Amino acid sequence: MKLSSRDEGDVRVVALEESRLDSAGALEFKEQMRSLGAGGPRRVVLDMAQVQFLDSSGLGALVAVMKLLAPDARLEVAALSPAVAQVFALTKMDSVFTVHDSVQAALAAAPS
Amino acid sequence: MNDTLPQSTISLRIPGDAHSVRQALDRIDTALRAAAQDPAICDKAQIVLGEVMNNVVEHAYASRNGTIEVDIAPGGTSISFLVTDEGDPMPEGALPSGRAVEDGTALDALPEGGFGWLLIHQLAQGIEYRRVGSRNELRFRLDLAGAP
Repeated sequence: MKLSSRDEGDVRVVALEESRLDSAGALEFKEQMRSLGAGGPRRVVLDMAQVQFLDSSGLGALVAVMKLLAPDARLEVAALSPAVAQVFALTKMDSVFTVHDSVQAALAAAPS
Repeated sequence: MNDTLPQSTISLRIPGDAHSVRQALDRIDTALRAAAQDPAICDKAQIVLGEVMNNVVEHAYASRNGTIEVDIAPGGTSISFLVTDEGDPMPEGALPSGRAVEDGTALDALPEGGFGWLLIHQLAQGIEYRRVGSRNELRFRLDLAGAP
């Protein structure tokens, strides 16, 4: 599971450099995000541009990470591929997470 | 279906673990795209098959090892799927329902699971579960957009 993190002003951008966030990788993702997201900026934007597939376990891990980081930081997501966006929409998680079209759009957006 | 073009069936037999499921999904995606299926249907097939096979791994094979068989029959108006395993039967012998998160649910109360059956029910048609001897058979279809 490859994740990279950088701070852009008051936003921590974490890029998920994998084509899948699924059952096989959900636990490791959760553990890495716990350390990458903690103790930094209040906004954590997950760049999902490389992710082509998200399953229910991956989605559960995203919800878990959002809970883990709260209330000190808030997890947002950016750059969802069509298949990933479909999973967010069908489960109504697109109303739970702040979803940005791109990392640039996330950086330009006001804190939610 | 007599009106469908003859297309070859995709059949796989894999070990019932999460990494094998991931590899199988990749192979199936490649095969469906090679069969010139609409990319939107290929995405739906990945999502539904991923949920169905991971349910087998996590529940039917929770306490033992076993294999999963997948048979996929692409047709002119829909793609038919059959997923078979030799694990434990479904609870109550029936399909679980999915539940959607209600608007305005507090962060603490958000579920971290249970999304799988919600996705299956929303994307697949004609879902049927049968227990046949010591085997579970789950059949479903994905109807092609614009199909009569």
